[in-house]
Amino acid sequence: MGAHEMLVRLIWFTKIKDGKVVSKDAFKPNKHDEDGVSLYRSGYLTNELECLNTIEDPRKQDFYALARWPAQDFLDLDLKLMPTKGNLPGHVSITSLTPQTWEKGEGNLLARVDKLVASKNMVVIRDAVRRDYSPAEFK
Amino acid sequence: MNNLASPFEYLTSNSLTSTVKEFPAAPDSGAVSTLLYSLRSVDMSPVYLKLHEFLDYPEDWDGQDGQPLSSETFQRVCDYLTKKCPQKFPPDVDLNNDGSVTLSWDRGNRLVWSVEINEHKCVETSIDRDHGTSITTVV
Repeated sequence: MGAHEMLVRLIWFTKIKDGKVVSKDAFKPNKHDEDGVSLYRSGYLTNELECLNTIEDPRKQDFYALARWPAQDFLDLDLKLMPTKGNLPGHVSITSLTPQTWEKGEGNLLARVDKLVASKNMVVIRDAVRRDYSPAEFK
Repeated sequence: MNNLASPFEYLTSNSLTSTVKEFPAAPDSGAVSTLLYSLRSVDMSPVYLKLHEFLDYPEDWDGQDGQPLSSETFQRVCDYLTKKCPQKFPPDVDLNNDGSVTLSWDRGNRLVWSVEINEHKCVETSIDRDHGTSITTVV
């Protein structure tokens, strides 16, 4: 993977404010991220907004923003990237960000993630359409 | 059982002082008595209101198998807030995909403190942005 490539990730609206990612938890691994936190290589997607289709319920898609970083940002912070199997072409994983490594936080991991989300190279290419999540709507 | 109004009514109709106040226990918690929350001179009401909202979140609330907030985690968060609130202003509070709650004290300062709480553990992280270091402790 080239350092010049761009990578995109879906971010839940509570972690985005005024066009910026404001929380390192935007990269918090979930239980499906055993091989690392997911991103997609922009160059492999016909349209970057395709990433939203990985969220099955279209109403929930509206609560996600789409943010993009250059791969170089990850490499500069020693956050290793590996192409892995995913729902769309161009899926990559940050192999050093798994539920286990997140909890241990070794090697200043969370400081590096904090720096990643604050990167001046990050661009929110699509903000969340809605920020008014109400549990009653989805019960 | 107490005869207090709903949490929202209670918190919006009472002035907040540095005294111990009663606050209804989480539903399904099995608790007969109310939980006691020490509301200091810091206005923590938005935090508690948000936590009560998270209790209503359904399974798969985020379209990525997001877990709702459990009564156990709710109680652990409230215990943490009453016993160990480290800052003079209330934290930001967010529900994570795995049902854990993150409390974070971050005002763009060079030191950022966050706590991630679930049913089993509490993970405290401090990030020194000046030096790019982080310390993670499981308590």
